[in-house]
Amino acid sequence: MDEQAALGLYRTMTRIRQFEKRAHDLFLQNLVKGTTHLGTGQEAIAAGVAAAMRADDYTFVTYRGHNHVLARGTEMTPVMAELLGRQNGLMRGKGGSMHLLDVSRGVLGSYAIIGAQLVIANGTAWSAQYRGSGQVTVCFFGDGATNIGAFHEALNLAAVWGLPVVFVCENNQYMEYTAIETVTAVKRPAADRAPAYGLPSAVVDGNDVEAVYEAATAAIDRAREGGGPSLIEAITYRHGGHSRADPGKYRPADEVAEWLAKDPIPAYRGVLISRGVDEEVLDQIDAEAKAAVDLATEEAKAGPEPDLEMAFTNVWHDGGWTWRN
Amino acid sequence: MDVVMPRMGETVDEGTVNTWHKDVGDQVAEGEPLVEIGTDKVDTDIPAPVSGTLAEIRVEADQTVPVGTVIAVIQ
Repeated sequence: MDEQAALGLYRTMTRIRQFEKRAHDLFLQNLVKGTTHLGTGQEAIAAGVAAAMRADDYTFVTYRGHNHVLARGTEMTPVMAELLGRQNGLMRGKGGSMHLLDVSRGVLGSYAIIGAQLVIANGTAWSAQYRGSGQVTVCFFGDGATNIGAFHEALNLAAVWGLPVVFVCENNQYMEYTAIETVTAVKRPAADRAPAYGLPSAVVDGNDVEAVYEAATAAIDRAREGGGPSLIEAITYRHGGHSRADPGKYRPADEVAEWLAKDPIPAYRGVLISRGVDEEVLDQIDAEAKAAVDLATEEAKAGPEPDLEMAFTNVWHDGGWTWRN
Repeated sequence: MDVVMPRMGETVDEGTVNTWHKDVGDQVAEGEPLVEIGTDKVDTDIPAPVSGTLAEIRVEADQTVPVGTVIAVIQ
């Protein structure tokens, strides 16, 4: 990988880390409306996969989706403003943290219903296949979704129709408060099951951004060239709790410490320095990320709260709210 | 900077200060556990939002206050 591309991966991860840190702070100040699920610790997956995608490809994400929206290039301010429930938010303040969507960048939604996005992702993949557009759909989901029926239905249909879709499981080891291994018969909840539906699968270190990028490139290229669907299971760990102020105390302290030591961002920083990248260049990227988050926070806070009348806008496709049957 | 009682859940309107991990006058570092907050659902350590000196504790341990109440000030 050339140095500019590598620095791009580092920049994306750093921006996400700083954004999530601020989101947590703002949540504790009661400025984030509703709930929030942070992707801190899982940045390498979002950054590595997004770097392997074409600008017009589609992304589907879960309620833990800030990472992926930012990685696809959506500006920080509308994302931050959405978390704060302001009119200058991505969804005009009507969606919140769990419902980020940016059609202009192919991000066709964040889904709070576990597993829902897998079957819907098949829809855009089918559309691309029908139109011959060469677009690939990438669908992210968590380890817990692999024990939901929609996971199995989606993989089966994608294989039967040879759809250009890549399913990416972010296995952070916990389905909410439950360790996935305690409720799942196989060791790799996604990758071990994909072959049963005829999908090739790969297991990758989800904290190694270049490993993720390489696995994603192979899977996306395969889908684009008509090779059909495949699945990647990226092994990772969320640094914090499941949501809100969840302290995550159901996780053993030594396990948490072990994974904090595998933090993808310092690890990649070390890799880049060992290749001869000047530390000052990385410090500059860190500083720019912090400045960008500061600016986004100020711009988001300056946005007005939604007007009451906005409850009656954007309900149906035509922008209105009246059911016309 | 004011430290406020966070909203621990969507339907939770108040919280209890279980334990202060620091005393007035102590130095605190950003991200360091400052106070444990309890609700009927969960007990959680709240990290210091900024580095500085813990200037005031406005809500003592075992007191329950509404979400948004200033519970401490860091200078």
